[in-house]
Amino acid sequence: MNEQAKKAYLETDKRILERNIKPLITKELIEEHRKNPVGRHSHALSQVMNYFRRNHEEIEGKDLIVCTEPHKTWCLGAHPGKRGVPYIVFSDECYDTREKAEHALFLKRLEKHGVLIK
Amino acid sequence: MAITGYTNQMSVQPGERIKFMVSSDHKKYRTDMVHLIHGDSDPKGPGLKINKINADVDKEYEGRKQDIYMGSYVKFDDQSPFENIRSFSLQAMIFPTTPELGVQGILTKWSPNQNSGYGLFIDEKGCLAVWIGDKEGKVEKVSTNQPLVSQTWYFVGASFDAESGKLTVFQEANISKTNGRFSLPYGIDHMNARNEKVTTVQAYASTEAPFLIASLFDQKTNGKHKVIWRYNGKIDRPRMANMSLSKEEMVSWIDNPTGDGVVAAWDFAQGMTGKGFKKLEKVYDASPNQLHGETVNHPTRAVTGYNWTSEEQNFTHAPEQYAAIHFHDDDMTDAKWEVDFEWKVPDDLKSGVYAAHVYAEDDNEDYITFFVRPKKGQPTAKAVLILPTASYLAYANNRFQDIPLAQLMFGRAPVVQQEDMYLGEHAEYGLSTYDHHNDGTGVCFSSSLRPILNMRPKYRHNLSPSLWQFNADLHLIDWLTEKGFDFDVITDQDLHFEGAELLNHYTVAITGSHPEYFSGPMLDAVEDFQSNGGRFMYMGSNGFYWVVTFDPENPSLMEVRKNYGNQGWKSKPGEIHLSITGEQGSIWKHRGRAPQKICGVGYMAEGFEVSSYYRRSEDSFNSNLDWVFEGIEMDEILGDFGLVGGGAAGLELDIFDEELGTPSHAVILASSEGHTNVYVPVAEELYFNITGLGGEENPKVRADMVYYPTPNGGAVFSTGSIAYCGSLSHNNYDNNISRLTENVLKRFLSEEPLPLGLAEQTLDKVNN
Repeated sequence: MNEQAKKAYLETDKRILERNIKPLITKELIEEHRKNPVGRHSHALSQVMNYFRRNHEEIEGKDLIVCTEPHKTWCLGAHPGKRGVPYIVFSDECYDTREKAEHALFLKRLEKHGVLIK
Repeated sequence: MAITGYTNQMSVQPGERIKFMVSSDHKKYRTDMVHLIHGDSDPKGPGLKINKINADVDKEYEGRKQDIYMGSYVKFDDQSPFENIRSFSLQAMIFPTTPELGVQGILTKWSPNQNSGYGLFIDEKGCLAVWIGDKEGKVEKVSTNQPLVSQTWYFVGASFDAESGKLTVFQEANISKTNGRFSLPYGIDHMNARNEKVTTVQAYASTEAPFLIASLFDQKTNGKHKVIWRYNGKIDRPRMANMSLSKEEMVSWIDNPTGDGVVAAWDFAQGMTGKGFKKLEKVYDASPNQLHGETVNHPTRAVTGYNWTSEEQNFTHAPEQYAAIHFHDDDMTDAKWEVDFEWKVPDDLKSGVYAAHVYAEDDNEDYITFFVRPKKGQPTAKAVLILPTASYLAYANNRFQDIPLAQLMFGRAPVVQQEDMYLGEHAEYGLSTYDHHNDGTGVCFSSSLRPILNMRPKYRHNLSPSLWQFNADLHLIDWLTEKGFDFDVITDQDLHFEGAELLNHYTVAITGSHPEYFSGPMLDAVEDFQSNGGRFMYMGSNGFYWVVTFDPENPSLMEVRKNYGNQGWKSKPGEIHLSITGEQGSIWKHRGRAPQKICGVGYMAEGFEVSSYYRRSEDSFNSNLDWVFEGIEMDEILGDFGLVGGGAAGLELDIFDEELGTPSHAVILASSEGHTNVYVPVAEELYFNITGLGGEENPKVRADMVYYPTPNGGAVFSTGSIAYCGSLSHNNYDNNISRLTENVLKRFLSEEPLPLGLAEQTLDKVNN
């Protein structure tokens, strides 16, 4: 995407966040995710997840979960945006189940978009 | 991953020798030859089953690091004509795809050590440039000073007159309505440029640096194979003269390189036949000097040239419009490592999946996986498992975590494993056919002559909630083994090169969980086996889908051209045909060979976060089908458990479709339900993309389990789901998926005739 197309994309995406996504964020929605981080979700939660997972179609900074020890440790991570360099691992954000890591990632994404309700 | 390796071939027969290439960061490592039964380390399953077999190569070895070098180029044996050059001209049609990435060699005889030689380059500013360097390393560079525009054809050239010292370079956009990104010559005055300089430097080319097309050798690393300044893009009609040609002469040389001054005039279309390139690596010089070359790391051939008009889509019909080669700085089809050890497979070794377990201290290890087939013409069982090695190659070293929208497809964040971490850092391990090259074009070749880190036991694949492809197929091998069934294993290459003759030794042929990539000869083999009365168990989904082929001279190399399906990339206009065979690529459905003809079901939907279960169909309660469900209660839900997403129906789903070739007498035994909206239909089954197509709303999003008899006493059983085999071991192999599969396999293996399908039963009644 060139700069102009990117600008149009991001402005539209910002309005999608404001109009369609933010109003869906409730304490109940966050609780729904905590109970079942992967699998069948309500329509509202699916819509929110789709927004987060799309990440403006940008690969740099895209969220990852890195399994550092099989069946034992899952850490949050991020994509460096190019090949030949290590994926970023946040070693202070590690969990003992994949589901806990998924939910921690969800909370991190809510915070990143300024919509975390505590 | 401080230790990795590969074999010289995927499939080997007892009595044959197989070579192992290993790179180890450790000074010492050990090898144990092992038989692989089960590779899923999930604590909820039966656990790893990797058995040492005590081979004569089991011992300690000296470790050494072996490197891999990326980048495709053309090299030449005969260097002398390129050496004694005083005046020269170099020219080509080029289609650069990453001119912004800095220095790239186009036609070079350049020693980076001595700064001697000559060459046509893209320079650090993205402009065309000519360089000459003398014996003392004194260099003259002339640039057009106009950055090249990517994905645009240019006529480029340079000449040097040793007498006058005049060094000239030019670039001229060659834009037609069909050959590139634009059809109008926007800003052409800025794209075209010419520059010259009079210099006292003379070109000195009697150095060790060889003449190369699209790169140059790095002499500093002592690496035999390392090239630097690797070019991304196409080159068409490169020519070289040992005199300084005028621009007019160079124009006429595009199509008629004539006269005494010709050093070489390569025709990249030469060698094409009506059935593709006869020798894929061979590059021909049409000049009297016959300076033929050889490509390295398989740049893409059968790509459109500067003069492509779009009227012809098949390169074999218009070779002169396909005289281009597309080079990539990250092409890699042979690691070219030295052999560490060689093993003669014992004559009595059971057919199966094996690995050289190489390991060093600190838990560093690799399982160098290979497949032992039975000796040719000597089956050892009534059942044969066709391991989908073409599909393993397609996914080899894939990096789904690098794909921007993959998380939407997965319905979760990708879980990156240590093997993925290593690949992220080591681009040189080569790409899969799901990846894009650095210039954005799709990867159409994959090779097993490199470590394939996701074709390993223990590996957990992030496209799946747990396992995928190779390691997932070990679920099936484990079940067959635990249940005491005798079976041989063969690979896709064996099937491709030996055809139905190989399958006809067996009563039952069984597929892996995802035999997605299939060649024409492989389809022929399966269909001929079926028409001969062979019984066929399709244990997965999205099979018989992409058109692929293997290089007849190198079975480790596979080619695919993607488009018009559900795909990681789309081939460019006019480039859908396979260079090795000349046949149309894309998916078999578009060539009149839909999977429904082979197995009664075909690819309909996909989603990857959680799996579901099947419910029996009303028709399944027909008493003629009781044998399928023996030992299963009538009201049982089938497969609401499993190691792949928690259910037997998941990841990719196939359904019954008479229009596409499911025979009308086929019976849907069971269908899956309850899929989430992450599951959506595949692109080729849509006319328009409309709302309401997700699994929660769309009854086409399901897997159909299908049975039907085939002529001469044969039959087909299809699961329609990739996750199916992950459910076989549940509850210590005592579950309804295991029981149903066992009922079918036992009946298929028996000499007993098989019951008719539904429509045939009706006909039978009418006839009687």
